[in-house]
Amino acid sequence: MNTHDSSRPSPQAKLNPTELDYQSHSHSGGELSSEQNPHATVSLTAYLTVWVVLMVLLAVTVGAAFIHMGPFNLTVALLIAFIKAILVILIFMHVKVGSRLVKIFVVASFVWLGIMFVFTFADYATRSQLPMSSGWLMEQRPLSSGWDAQKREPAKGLVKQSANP
Amino acid sequence: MSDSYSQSISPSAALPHADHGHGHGGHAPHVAHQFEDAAQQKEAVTLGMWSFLATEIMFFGGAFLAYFIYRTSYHQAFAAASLKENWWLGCLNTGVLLCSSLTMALAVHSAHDGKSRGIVMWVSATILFALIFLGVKAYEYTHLYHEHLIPGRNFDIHQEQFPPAANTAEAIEHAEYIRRGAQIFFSFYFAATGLHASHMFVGIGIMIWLIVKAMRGRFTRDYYNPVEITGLYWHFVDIVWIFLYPLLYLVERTAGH
Repeated sequence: MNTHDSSRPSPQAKLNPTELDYQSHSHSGGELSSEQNPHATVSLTAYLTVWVVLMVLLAVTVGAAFIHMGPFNLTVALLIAFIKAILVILIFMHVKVGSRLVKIFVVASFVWLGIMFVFTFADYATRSQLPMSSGWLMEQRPLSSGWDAQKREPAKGLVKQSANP
Repeated sequence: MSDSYSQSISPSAALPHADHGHGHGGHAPHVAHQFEDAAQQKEAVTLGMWSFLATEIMFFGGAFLAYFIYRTSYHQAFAAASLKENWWLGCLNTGVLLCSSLTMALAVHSAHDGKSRGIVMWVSATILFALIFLGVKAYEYTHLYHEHLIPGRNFDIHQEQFPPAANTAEAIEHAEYIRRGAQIFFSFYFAATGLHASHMFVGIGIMIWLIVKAMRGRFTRDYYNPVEITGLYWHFVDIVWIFLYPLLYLVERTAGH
């Protein structure tokens, strides 16, 4: 099975704007604008290799979780997750052999996600500690006006547990 | 152009518009009218699916964002709550979904080669893995219910890992904090995995449809777009779980922390 990288447009397509990309003249990979190669695919070997790598990375994720790295446990876990996601996107979802436009759509999705994350985190990170909210770093101080502010009874773990409902 | 239907039972059953003859405009029968050719149709279909997946990324992304905000505020509570999850079952489920992604990719691969039987076989395998995943999830949910870990009135996270020194106000406050934070964690757990599971049910439904269509010879070497984009959907569902697993099951697993 061939693995075509169809993201590079042929020189013909660039110099000849009147020749629309969507008009196919032949189905051989070279003459058709490489943006629109419908026969580009990923090889069986690539699928199996990626699958093995994914399983290995799963084992690494679990293993790393049991190693004390402090705040870096989260970093490592997310890093591995991102690598797995990128492998799935590129190989299983055929983005590697897809057109440039498909690649743009994929990247754009995560750009929008990134905007949401960056702005929201920036908001929380730059808040000062307000007396009526838990704030950003006030881990030990519960909300003074939470949904259960009315009933300030001790948590169940401290008192003898009542009969099972 | 009409020779691409060697696997069809009958041409009319397979064509998108069966009432038009083959001499209509010279385009292939499996290409809808608005497209120039099969390549453009395939590109449009792929971009359409990715547009939908972009909305799904934002959909789940919102939940993930809220999770991170609360995890920072309630890290200790999240750690305590996450310990209640069965990491081994979650790991098994992750492996099951990764296998289902492989079988789905192999189904698309079969479709590319024009092998309907391969499509049916691999999509069936994908459904099987999906059902295993959902079965394990059902067991987990049941277990959490019996452990009083469903947020609400009867929520009760036993705090053996945080034994209060005394019945002081501070200890009570800390226990309250843990209780609140743990309920927030489990709210995320049920909301996120529930949302994920509902996506899996929809995916299974679509895959059943795919099997039916494949058995009727709908897909050929030149036209298998539905198989391809179902694959995109399924891989997305897999990616969501790839992120959910460490965030829900592996918050803090180092002994002696």
